[in-house]
Amino acid sequence: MKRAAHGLICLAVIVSMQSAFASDAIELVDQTGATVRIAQPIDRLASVYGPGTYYVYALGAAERLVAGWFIGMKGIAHASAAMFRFEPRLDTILSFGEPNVEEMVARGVQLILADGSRHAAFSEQMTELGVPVIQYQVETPDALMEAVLLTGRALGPGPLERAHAFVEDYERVLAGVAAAVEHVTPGDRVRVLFLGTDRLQVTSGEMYQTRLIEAAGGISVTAGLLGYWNEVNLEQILLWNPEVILIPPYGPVRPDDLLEDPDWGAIDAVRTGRVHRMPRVIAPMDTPVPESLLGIVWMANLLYPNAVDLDLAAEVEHFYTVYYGFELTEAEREHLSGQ
Amino acid sequence: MRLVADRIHYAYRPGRDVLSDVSLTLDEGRVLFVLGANGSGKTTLLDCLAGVRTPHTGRVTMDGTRLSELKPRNRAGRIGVVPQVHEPVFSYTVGEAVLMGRAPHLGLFSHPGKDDWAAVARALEAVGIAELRTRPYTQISGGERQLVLIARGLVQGAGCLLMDEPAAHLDPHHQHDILHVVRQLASEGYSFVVTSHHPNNALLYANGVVFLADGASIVAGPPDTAIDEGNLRAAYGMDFEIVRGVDGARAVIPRISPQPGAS
Amino acid sequence: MIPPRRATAAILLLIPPILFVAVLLIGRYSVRPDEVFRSLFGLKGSSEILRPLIVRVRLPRALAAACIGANLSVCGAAFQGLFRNPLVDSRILGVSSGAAFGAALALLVSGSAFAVQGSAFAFALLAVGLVVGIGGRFGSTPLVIVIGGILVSALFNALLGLIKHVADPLSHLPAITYWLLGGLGGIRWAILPPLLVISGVGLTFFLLVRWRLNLLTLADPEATALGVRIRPLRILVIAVGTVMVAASVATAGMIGWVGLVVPHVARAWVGPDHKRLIPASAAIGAATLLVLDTIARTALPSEIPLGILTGLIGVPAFFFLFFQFLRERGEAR
Repeated sequence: MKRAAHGLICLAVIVSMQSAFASDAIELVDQTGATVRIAQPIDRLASVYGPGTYYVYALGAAERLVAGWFIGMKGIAHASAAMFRFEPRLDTILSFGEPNVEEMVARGVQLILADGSRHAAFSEQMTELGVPVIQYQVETPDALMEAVLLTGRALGPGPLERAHAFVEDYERVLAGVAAAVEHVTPGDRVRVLFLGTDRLQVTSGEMYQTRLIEAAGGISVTAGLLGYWNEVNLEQILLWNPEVILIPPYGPVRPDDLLEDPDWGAIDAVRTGRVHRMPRVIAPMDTPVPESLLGIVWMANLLYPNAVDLDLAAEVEHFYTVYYGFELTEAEREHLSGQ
Repeated sequence: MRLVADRIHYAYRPGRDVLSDVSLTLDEGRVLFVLGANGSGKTTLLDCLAGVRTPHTGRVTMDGTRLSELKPRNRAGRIGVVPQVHEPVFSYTVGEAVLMGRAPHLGLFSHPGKDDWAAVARALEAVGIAELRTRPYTQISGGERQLVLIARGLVQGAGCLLMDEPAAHLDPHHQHDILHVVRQLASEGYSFVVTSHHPNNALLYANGVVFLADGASIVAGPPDTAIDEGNLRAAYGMDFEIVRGVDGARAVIPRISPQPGAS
Repeated sequence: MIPPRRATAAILLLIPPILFVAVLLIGRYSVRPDEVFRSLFGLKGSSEILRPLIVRVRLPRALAAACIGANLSVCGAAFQGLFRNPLVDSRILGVSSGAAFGAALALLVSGSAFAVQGSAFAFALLAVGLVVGIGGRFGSTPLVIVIGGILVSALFNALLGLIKHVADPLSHLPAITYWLLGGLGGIRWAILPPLLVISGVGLTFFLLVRWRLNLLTLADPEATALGVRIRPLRILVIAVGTVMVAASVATAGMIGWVGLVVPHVARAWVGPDHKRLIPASAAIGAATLLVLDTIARTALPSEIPLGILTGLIGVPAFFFLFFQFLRERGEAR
C-alpha cells in the first residue's frame, strides 16, 4: 500500500516536472475560472464531458481522442449505426459512468475536458497527478463559443483556426435568425414549451434549451423556472398553454403520445398539431454541442413557418461537411432538414 | 368439567424432554397449584393444558375429548389462560382489554355488541374492579392488571382458568387479593391451575398440589400431605422447615445455616 | 377511551368528503367555485378548458391522494398493532424498497407509466413475499418478520444503488430520483383503476376485521389461548396490507411518514382500540394527503415532491407526538 502510494507520488512528480519544463506550454483560464497550464503538443486527450467530446470532433482532432463520453450513450449498445460511421473507433474510446482516475493515467492521457459542475473533485485529482483539466460550464451560446475557442487553443494551431471559423459561423447563424424574426412583434412571439425525457418534465430558465428558443425568436413558457429539469403537472401546462411543444431527440416521448392524449387536448399546441420532436443524427441539437446552431435554425423555421424561411438544408450540409467531415445519407439529410 | 393430563411428554428439541410423564386431574371448583423450581417445566405444562402446545406423547383431555380434537374457539370457550402480567404497548382501556376475551365467540368479520359489553361488565363485577372499566390498562397497578386478565378469562366463558404465576411481582397483600378472588370463583364452580413459586400460597389457597422437578411430577396430592420437607427438598434442592402457627396453619420457611458472626 | 363519541365520529367521517370537494376548487389555474360545478355537470357557461382540467387533472389526483392516504395510514395502524411496535410502518416489510427497485428498473429500460407502475407493484410484492417466505421457515413471529424485512430491504436498496450507478445522469437518474421523492403529478385516469379497486377491497377488508386486529397485539400464546388462529390472521393482514401499500407506492412513489404519523394522531384522538382506530386512521390519512397534495401541485409552478412535504410536516409532528407518548408512559418529562 505504502509502496504503491510512493509510486504514485513519483509518477506525479515526474509527470508534473515534464509539463513544468516543457518549453512551449500554454496557459488558459477555463470556464470555472481556473488557470490551466497545458504542455504542447497534446497527442492524447480524453473528454469526460459529453458535449466536449463533440468539440474535439468539430475541431478535427478526433484521432487524438483516447476516451470520450458521448451524450446519452451508456455502452456500445446505445450507439446508432450513424455513430459507427461517425467514429469507427467508437468501441475502443466510448466510455460512460463516473470517470476513473487510474484509467486516465493508464491510457496516457495528457489533457482532460471535464464538466465544471460535476467533475470538481475528479479534476483536482487529475491536476495533482499533473494532467491538466479544462472544465466547461456551457448554458448559453456565448459560453459555447468560448468553450470551442478554449478547446481550440489547447489543441494547437489547426484546431484553433477551425474554432475561429466555427464561432464566425455560429455568429452568422445567430445574426441571420435574429434578422429573420426581427419583424415579429412582441405580441406575436410564439410561446414554446420544451419537454424532457418525460411529458411532465420541462426545461428551466437556466438551461441551454431556453437560450436556443430565445435565439429562434420564441418565448419559453418555463423561462421563470430555476435549476435543472423541473417536474410539473398538467394543470400548470394548461395554465402556460404553449403554442408549440418541442420534444428533445432523446427520451421516450413522441409527438403522437401527446396529440392522441385527450387529457392534453385543451392545450393550443396539441389542438393545432404543433408538437415536434427534434431530429438527430449525431449529437442532440438541444444540448450545448456544436450542431446546436442547426437547432436554432430548425426552431426558427418551425416557430414562424409563414415569416421565416431559412435554408436549413444548406446549413446542415455545410456543418456536417466542414466540421464533422461526415457524409450524410439522403435519409439523414432529409430527417435533419425537417422534410 | 374435568381436565385431565395423562402421562404427557413434551420436548422443544428432540431427546430433551421438558416435561416427562406428567399427569394431573382438575375437577370442578378445585384450585390446583403447580410448584417447582425455575425451569422445572411449569409454564410448558400450562401451555399443554391450554392447548397452545400439543404433548408429543400422552394426552390432555377436556371431559374426555382430546384438546387437539377441539376447534380452537371451542377449546378457548372452555379453557382460559391468565398470563403473567406484562407491560402492554398500547393503552387499551380495561374494558377493551377484557372484551378481547370474547374473541372465541365472534367471527372474523363480526364486532362485539351489547351482549359482549354486558359480559365484560359482569366479569369486572365478579373480580371487584367494575370502577376501572374506562381506565387505561397502562395506568393501573400490577395486581389490578392480574384481575383484568382473570376477568378476560371469565368473559371467554371458560370454566377452567390456567394462571401463570399470578403472585409474581406482588406484595403479600395484593397476592392475597388475587388468590382470594380465585378461591371465591372456585366456590362458584370455576376451577384453576396456578403455577407458583410460593409453597405457602399453596398451603393457604390450594385444594391440590403437583410438584414438578426437572419436568417430571414427583408428587401430587392435597397440600397438607404433599407439602412436606422431603418433597420440598426434592423440588427446590434445599432444606425447608415446616412450622405451625397458633391457629394450626402450616408455613414453609427455608432452613439456612446461621451466618458466621451473626449472633 | 370512552365508547364511541358521536361528535368525533361525525367530524372524522365528514372531513375527507368536504376536503375532497374543496381541493377540486383549488389549483394554479384559478377557477371560481360556481364555474367548477357548472363544468362538472356540463351546464351552460362551462368553459372549454375547465371541464378537462377538473375531470381529467384534479379529480383523478384527488381520488388517488385520498386512497393512498387512507391505505398508508390504515396499513400503518394495522402493522403497528401486528408488530406490537408503535415505531413501524408499512416499510418494515420491504414494500418500499422492492417498489423503488422495480420502478427504477422500469424507468431505466422503458419509462412508460404503466411499466413503472406494474414493475414497482410486482417487486413490492416480491420483496414482502421473500420476507414472509423467510419468516415462514422460522415461525412467522413478529421478530423474525421484522429482521427478514430489514434484510430484504437492504438487498433491494443495494440493487437500487446499482441501477442508480449505471443510470444516465442526464436522463434516467433525475427520473429515478424524482420518483423516489414521491408525487401524484403523473396521475391520469388510465393508470388509476388498479389503485381504486385495491383500495376499495383492502379498506373494506380492514373495516370488517378491524376489531380482531386488537387480538394481534397480544403475545402469540395469549392469542392462541383465546382461540384465535394467529398465524393465518397475521399472514392475511400482511398480505392485504402489502397489496394496498404496493398499489399506493407503485402509483405515487415513496411517500414516507404518513403511515407512521397518522396512526399516532388517530390513536391520540380515539384510543388504541382498532374498532375506532382503523376508520379514524383512514379518515385522517385521506384528509392529510388531500391537503398535502394540493400544496404540492399549487404552491409553485413546478411540482413539489410529495415525499418532501410529508417529511417536512411529518417529522415535527412525529417529534411532538412521540415525546407526548413517552411522557404519558412516564419515560420523559
